[in-house]
Amino acid sequence: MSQTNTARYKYTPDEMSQEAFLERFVVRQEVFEEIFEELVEADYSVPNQHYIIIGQRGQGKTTLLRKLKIEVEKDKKLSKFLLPVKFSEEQYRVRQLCRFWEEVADYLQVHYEEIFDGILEGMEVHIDDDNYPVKCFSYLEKQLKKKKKKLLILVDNIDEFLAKIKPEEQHQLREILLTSSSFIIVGGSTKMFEQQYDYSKPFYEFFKIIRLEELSFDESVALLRVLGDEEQSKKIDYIVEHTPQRIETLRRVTGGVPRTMVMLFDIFIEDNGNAFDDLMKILDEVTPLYKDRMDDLPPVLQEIVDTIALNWDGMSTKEIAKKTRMESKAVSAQMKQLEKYQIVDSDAVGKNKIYIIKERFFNIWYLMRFGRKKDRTRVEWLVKFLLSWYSPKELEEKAKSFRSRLVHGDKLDVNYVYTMGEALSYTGCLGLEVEHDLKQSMRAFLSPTNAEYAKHITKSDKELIEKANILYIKKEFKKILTLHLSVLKDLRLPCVEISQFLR
Amino acid sequence: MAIIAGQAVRGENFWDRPYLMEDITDIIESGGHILLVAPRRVGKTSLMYKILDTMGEEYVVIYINTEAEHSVEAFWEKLFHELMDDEFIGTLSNKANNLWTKLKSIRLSEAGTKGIKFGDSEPIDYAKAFLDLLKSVDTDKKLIIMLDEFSQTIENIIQRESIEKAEQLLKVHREIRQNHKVSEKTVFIYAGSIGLESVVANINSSKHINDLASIAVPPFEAEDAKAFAKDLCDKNGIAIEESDIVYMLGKIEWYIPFYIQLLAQEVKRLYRRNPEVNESVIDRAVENALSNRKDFIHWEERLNTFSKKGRVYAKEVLSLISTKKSVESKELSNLVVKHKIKEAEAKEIIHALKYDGYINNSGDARIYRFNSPLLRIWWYNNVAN
Repeated sequence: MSQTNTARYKYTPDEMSQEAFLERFVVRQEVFEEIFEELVEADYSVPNQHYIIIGQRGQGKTTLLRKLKIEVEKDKKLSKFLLPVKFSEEQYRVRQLCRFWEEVADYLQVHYEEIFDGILEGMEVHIDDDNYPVKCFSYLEKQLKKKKKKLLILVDNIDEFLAKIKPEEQHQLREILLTSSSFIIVGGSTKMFEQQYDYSKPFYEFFKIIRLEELSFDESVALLRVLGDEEQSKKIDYIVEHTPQRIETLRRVTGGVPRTMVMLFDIFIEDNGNAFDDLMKILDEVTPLYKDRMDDLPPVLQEIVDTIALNWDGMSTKEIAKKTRMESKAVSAQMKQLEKYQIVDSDAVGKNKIYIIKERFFNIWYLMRFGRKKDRTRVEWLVKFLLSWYSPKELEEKAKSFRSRLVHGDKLDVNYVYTMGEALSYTGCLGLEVEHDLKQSMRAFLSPTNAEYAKHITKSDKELIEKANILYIKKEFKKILTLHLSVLKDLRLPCVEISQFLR
Repeated sequence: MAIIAGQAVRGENFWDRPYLMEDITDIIESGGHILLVAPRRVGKTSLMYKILDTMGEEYVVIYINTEAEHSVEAFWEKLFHELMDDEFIGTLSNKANNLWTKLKSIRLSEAGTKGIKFGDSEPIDYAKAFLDLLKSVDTDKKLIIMLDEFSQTIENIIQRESIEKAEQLLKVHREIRQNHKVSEKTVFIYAGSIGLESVVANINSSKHINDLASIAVPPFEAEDAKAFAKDLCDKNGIAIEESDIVYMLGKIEWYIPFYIQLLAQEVKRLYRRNPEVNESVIDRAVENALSNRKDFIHWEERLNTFSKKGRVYAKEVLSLISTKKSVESKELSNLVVKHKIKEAEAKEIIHALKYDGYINNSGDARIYRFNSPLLRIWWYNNVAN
């Protein structure tokens, strides 16, 4: 299996084998049971409740949809009449309601050939009729009734589909959902969407909303335990017993999002950078999506998001105001917007609110794309993970072993070398010599293959001290001060401390 | 009884209130036609299903949803086709033989697959066909035609065709209702997510619906609410004390089944993780329901369409109601004086707040309250205080 496939296998639930998938389905049990029990108990002679599972990317929506599909197929009673129809994750083609029914018919034709052979063609006979969209569904429903079947339609990103179809099609769909007993929809959505909360929209409070919350500590442990082999499970058990706070920190800094947690966990467990490479690939994949998200915002909100994203730990209104040179009051109003768009989340700290980027993975993406090189902020997320996961002693050991692999010329990803090396150095836990040797080895490793990266490696503390010493001998105190300030800035100490230093 | 929070309920999931059905039967028996009035999520469609499922012995009942119809022609076509629907006709053979025979004969005269033709090749005038059918059929039982989302259809026609066409449709409906031949055999029940009265008032056509008997779909009485919540919890395996049910209902205050279901759903989720219900669990259930609704800020922002003075007035009206849970109209008049706002503008604002789904006075015209108890709690926490 190629590296790309490994990444897909791990982070894209639909591409896992059914057996492996079921073995790993250890969290979100209650959510699954809530829907499944209702599917079992539903009266299929009348229109039923439709559902939407809401959770940010990586929270487990696709996983749940797949689990529902498998369990309905396995259930003796349900499988007799309830056929799962699972839309692929990205349905860019489906912009019209009739297209939606055509996709359903196509799926039935392919997956339940013996029952619905030719159903799509039968539907398309009416394609030139004036009211094809209506006939499309009537035809489908007639066939379902004839064959005594009901459908469980599983649609990821259903919010995008609902937003794409025209208002009159939304009314058409609602009419069908209210009156037809032929199917139940379970959708997935990354955010709460206008159609559900706007009183004037057809789907106002219409779907049963199931929100995927962040994983609890116990769920996080359960998830990490099933990820790897037996040896890895033992490692997790050891961590749970001796340093459970590491898992708690991992959980908090990933926002309890399973996919982010798994991905970053892999980066710690593996030493060759494959997991890091996977992370980069996934960041590449989400780039168009995240870029659109930013582009959709008005410029002032873009600026605020930029400011917060470059501060991994979050910022208060006052800090944001200062950085963006806006009035605090104006920032507060904008923050309400960003909370509504579910881009930021706030935590009350005393009377103040601290805002962070809600989706931590988006924040990582932002830092990796827009964080300045030679700037701590770019790798801040990794620094935080390293500090949470390892003791200072372990960090030094990790740095040493990382360096020895560089020296031995192991095959390592250049981005991984740069990012991991810089992050290890920023933890502040490495001895002067260890850190210096690491930086030197990084330069030696990167220079022949990627001069650009090599150029951006920051100076080691040892180099800085040597430089300061030379300046001291030359009595160039102003330059020492500038140097010191730049170091402080990199550590991002509060401005007040810098001003004290200046005095 | 399943916890259903969104879809219209059917069968055993509908909590029966015999007095409500009796009110409806009285009007039907006296030859009146009905307009069901209530804000969204109160249960108009569920009530229509109840009529469909339980009054079928004495009447021939048909439920038609015309939400998707955007033209007068499409509206009539939909009505006609629903009457011609195999399943509907199938239900008639044993109980309404004359109607069954009549519809069957029309069905048999149908030619071709693309639309119904009556012998010649002219497209059918569905309005006329529908009316002729109602006039000519000698039904053994009174026919109840329930038109759900009729107000949406009128709105669709106003948007897509013209005000005149919408008015014309309302007029024709009134004529049908006033036609003795039709009226003694047929009853119309109208409902819609948006208030028909408001839609019609906007185009100065109230006179075309003032013959309808309005029935405000009421919230549960306290005893009904208690029994409903208890039953819902029992059937979902939640052991709950009566005092906790009272506490939970206190959070809701306006006993609309949808909101009781919403809260029960959150309680069930918590119960699944830890099988215990007490006041703090109920508080958490309310918090969880609210945390799913961070987008409520949308309701505050929508007030920006008012003038600055109007916005301040509207905010205070809502804040007052959110604090007191229900407010008499005279208290709102006091605010008009306080804000030095013109009476007409204030009236318009209250109307807009009703139309846009913030508040209602549907139970008692003098008492205003929030439609959604959750929005009320959110407003109280985030805007009023």
